Amino acid sequence: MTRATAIVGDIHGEAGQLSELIGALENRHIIFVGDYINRGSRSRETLEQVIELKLNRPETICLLGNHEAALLGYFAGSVEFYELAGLGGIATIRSYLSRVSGDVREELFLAMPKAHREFLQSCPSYFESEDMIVSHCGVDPANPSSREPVDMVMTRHEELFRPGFTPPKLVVCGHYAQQGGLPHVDNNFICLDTGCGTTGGPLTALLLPEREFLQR
Amino acid sequence: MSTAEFVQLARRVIVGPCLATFLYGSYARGDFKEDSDIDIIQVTPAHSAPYSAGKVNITCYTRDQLLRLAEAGSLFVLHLISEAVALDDPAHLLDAMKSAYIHPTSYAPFYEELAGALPIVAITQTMFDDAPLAYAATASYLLRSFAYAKAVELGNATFAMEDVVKVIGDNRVLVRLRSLRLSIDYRAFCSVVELLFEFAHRTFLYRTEALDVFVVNSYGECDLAVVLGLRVLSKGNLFTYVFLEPKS
Repeated sequence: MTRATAIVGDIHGEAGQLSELIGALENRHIIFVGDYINRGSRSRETLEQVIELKLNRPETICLLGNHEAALLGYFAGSVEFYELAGLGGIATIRSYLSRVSGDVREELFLAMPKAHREFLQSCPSYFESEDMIVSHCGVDPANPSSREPVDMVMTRHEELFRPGFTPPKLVVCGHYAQQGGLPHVDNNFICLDTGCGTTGGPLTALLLPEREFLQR
Repeated sequence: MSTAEFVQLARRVIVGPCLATFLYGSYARGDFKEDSDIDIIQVTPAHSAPYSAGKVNITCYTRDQLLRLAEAGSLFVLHLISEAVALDDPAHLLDAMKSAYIHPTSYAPFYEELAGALPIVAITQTMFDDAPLAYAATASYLLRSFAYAKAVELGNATFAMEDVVKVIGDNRVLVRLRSLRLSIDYRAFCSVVELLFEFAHRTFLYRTEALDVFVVNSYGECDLAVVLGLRVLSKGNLFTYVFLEPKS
C-alpha cells in the first residue's frame, strides 16, 4: 500500500474526539471500522461529522458496525428496544430527541434525518485490498475466506486474540474494546477499539503505510 | 455446605475469566432455606452479563466497578463487606473494598433514586400480566432496598430480612415479600407496591406511558429506573448493560 491511509476505530458518539482526530488526518484516505453511535452522548453529531467528511472526501470508506446494524434492525422491527438499549442505544435516541411521548421507534425514525438513515444503510460490511482486510469484527479464524456480514460485522471472534493466529494478510478491526487504551497489535492482526465512548478511552487511528497510531 | 464445597461448586459453574469469587446472601450468612438461591459474585477483567447455573446466580463485576461502588458508599458493597465469604480472592479484593468503603453521609439521594424507579411498578393488572415475574422481581428489589437502607440508617448493617424488619420495626416488609414470593399474582404484587409508595412518601399514580418511553425519558435522570426498566422489558432475558448502581 502506497497511499497514505488512516483506519479509524470505534467512536461511539464521542464527536469531540472524532473532530480532533479528523483534524489531524487532513491528507489521508480514511477508513472507519464502524460503531459511530451509541453509549457516548453525541451520536447525532458524530454521524453528521462522518457524513460531511464523506461528502467532502467521497473516497472515504465508512464500514458498518454492529451498533449501526442494531439501529437499522430496530427500525426494521427485528431488534427489540431493550436490545438496542442494552447496547447503549438510549444515548443515541436522546441525541435526536430530548423526550419521547409515544412510539419510540417511530419518533426516532422521524427525528433522524433521512440522510443519516440512508448513510447507515449504505455502509459496506468490509473493505479488502491486496494486502489487507478491514471489517468491524475481523475475520472468522475458523473460516477466514467468509465475507458474510454476520462474520464481518456481528460476531465476536475471540479466537483472533489467541497467540499464534497469523492471517495471510493484515486484518484490521474494532469491536473488541481493549483495556488500557492501547490497540491490540499482533502478527498481522490489529484491533483499534481502545474504549472510545465505552470505557473513556481514546479514539485511535492506524496510520498506513507507517503502521503507527494516532490517538485523541 | 462447607466453604470448601462452595469453592468446588464455584469452580464447576464459573464460566470465563475470573479474578475472584465471593459467596454472599443467605448461603454466606447461613440462614438459607430449601428454596434459596446461591448467590456468587464473579470478578471479571471486563464488563460481563450475569448468568445462572441451576439455583446458582452469578453476577459479574469488575474490580474497578466494585472499588468505585465502595467509594460511593454503595449499599451493595456494604452488603458484600458485611457478609460475603471469599471463595477465591488472591488479590485480597474483599479487604480492598473494606478499606475503600465510605459510609454515605445521607441516604436521601438513594431514596430519591428508588422513588424515581417506582413508576415502573405502578401498573394495571394487564401490564403486570405481560411480565409478572419481572415486575414482581423489580418490586421486591425496590422494597428490599428501602428496608436495607432504613436498617443501615438506624445503625445496623444487616441483610437478613428477618433481622432487617426487627431493626426497622416493620414486619409488613417480610410478610409481603414472602407472600409475593409464594404466589406471584397481581394482588400480592400490589401489596408490595403499596408499601413502596408509603416508604417513598409518594402518592400512587398509575404509569400512563409505555415502559420504553419511561425508560428513555429517565435516561440521565435516574439510572436505576433505566436499569430496572430494561430488565422488565427483557422479561428476564440476560443482556449486557453497564450497571450503574445509584450513589447513596
